[in-house]
Amino acid sequence: MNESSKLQQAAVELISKYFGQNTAKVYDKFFVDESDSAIVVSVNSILSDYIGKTKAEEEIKKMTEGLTL
Amino acid sequence: MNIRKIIFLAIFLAVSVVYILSTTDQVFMLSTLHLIFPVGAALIAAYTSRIYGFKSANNGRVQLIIAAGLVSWGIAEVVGYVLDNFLDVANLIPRVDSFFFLIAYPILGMGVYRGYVTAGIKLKLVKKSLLMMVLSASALLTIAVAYFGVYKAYDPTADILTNVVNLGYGLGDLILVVGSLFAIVVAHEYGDGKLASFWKTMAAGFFTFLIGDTLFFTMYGALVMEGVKPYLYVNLIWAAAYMLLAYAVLENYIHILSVQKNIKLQLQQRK
Repeated sequence: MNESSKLQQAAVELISKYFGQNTAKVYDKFFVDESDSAIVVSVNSILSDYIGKTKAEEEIKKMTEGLTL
Repeated sequence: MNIRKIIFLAIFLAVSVVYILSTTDQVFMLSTLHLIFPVGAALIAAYTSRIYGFKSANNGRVQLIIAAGLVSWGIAEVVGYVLDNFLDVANLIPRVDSFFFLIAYPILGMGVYRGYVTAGIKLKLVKKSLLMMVLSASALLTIAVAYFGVYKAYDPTADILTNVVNLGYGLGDLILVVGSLFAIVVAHEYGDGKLASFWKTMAAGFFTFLIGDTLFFTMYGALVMEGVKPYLYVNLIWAAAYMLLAYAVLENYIHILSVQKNIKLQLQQRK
């Protein structure tokens, strides 16, 4: 699995954690044609709105840990 | 103030006015009106779980467990309504609705606990002032509920089953005390996010429910059940509690739905 698909998988898992599997399934399709930076921006946007900016940053930091972006 | 909040408050105000103007022979109408918020909360919570996906983990699981608790309270209210108004078994103990009322307390407690775990809260990082406030409130509420809901609820002249049910409500309220305080800590973790609003409103709903329950234990519950004023107004406190719980799940439902609609639209536009 390359870094990009690892990031996509981690992003979908994070969305699933807070928004449930139905939302995650749609995002999984949406992220296919998205760049890594666009995925991070997209996840940051919906998470900040839902769990607050600080918690979103914390979760995204965990998500990108170990990945070379 | 958003339009949904205004509608909720308007309905509650209308129900309150009906309660105040009602006469003792209108108990049936009042108990019918009383169903609006618990049934509403149960239905919205069930729909919310559906849009998350019933097999979802983490927050989706939390919503499912909370939905199960609210559905249980909704069923209890409907069953109680049928027993009181259509069947001649109003004073039968134990009542079937008691089972659904009592089982909801641990379910809701579990839901809040799962919410706490999902949030990944590190107690060391929680503000000391918040922890002190939560612990002080917890101690005061525990004393009040333990005294009125457990100690005073025990009736040595009643049979075991009656005492088990009565004590069950007191113990359920103790679960709600802990649950509402955990909900505040979870809300704090999510800062200014929509999920923080959900937990704050849930905590407010649980607190209001506790006030209703404690007043019921201290103000001669039988008079509340018979619709004698002013004891009757305890029902309004429960209605307010259900309203807060219904509002919490509705706002969460609308937010998740809008996230899903938005991303589906973007996906469609791309095609």
